[in-house]
Amino acid sequence: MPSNADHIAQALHNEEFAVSLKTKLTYKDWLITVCFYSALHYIEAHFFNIPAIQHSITTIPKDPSTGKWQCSEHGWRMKLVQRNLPPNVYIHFKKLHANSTTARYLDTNKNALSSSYFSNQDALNAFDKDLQMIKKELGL
Amino acid sequence: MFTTTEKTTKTSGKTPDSITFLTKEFENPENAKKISEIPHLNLLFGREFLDNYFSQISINVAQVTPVSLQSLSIPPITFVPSFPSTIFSYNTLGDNWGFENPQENVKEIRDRYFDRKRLTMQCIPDVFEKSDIDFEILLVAEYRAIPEVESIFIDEYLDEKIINIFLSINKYDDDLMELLISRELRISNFSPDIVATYNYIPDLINNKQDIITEQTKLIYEK
Repeated sequence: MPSNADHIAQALHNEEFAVSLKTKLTYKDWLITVCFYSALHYIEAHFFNIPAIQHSITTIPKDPSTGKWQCSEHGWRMKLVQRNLPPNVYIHFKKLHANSTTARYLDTNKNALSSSYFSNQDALNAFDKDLQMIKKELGL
Repeated sequence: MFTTTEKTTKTSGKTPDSITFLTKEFENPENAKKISEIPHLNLLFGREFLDNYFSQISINVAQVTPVSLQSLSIPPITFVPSFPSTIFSYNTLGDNWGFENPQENVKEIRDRYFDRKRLTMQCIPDVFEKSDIDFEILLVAEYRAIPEVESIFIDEYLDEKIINIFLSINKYDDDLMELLISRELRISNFSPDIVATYNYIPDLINNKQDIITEQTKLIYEK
């Protein structure tokens, strides 16, 4: 299981890549997505320091008879964020997740690219507003 | 034609609502199922007890009356609102169902209900037992007030609820997204044990079937 330091290192690595994507904004969708993954690792780093959690995957509820997970990894992580972290973290992390999903997976067939859904400022806000707010709330 | 049962909820220090169950016994289980298939009554949550073809209909319009605390002596129950029979009633038992008062605007009645429901649950949240139906009612009550919400579908993956909310926007709106997400938090206050994933889908696809599966249930449409 990755340690707190492992998660922080990955988060910083992703954040550096996001900074490079900010300079030209050709890949707004990937800027938003990288911000999401950076935030995810910051949050998992924070979870590592909560003894009852340590990592979201290891605490996913399991069916007592089959041992299988009762929900998805992402769904459980969001529930942990909701229960354990300030509301602002939930709001901004959820925004990053929702927007990165839209950016990556929305198969537009109304003559529009999913990346045109977001303005340049929207993409910049993913880094400057959402990711930075999460770091601030987590004391990073 | 109808059987009504009065049930009340017990709280301490607060005035609860009196609830009337509107129930109807069906001779044929297929007729009981048809209730939930009437398009303009897509808010109906019919529970079917197959052993005696009984369908308890919880119709989402609240016409409730405050009840004095002194008369309460039973434990809290699930809040299941119903139509008083004076507003409408089924005019036949069989394949054709309809309102006796067809001029009633179901949408207006529905809207009044959800406003009342949301206010009631915010004022006395500890009255309500948690159930799947309450969760769906909460979803609709919270999100239908947002003009950009076009429809809400719900599905399940394992024990997790998957909520797909289709929006009317085709450009990202950050304020709207924060509003939508704040509703998730509010809903979770009433249903803290439910694991739910909310997907907000902008108006960038032509065919909802790309996202919605056969088992997905429509619970709200503007």
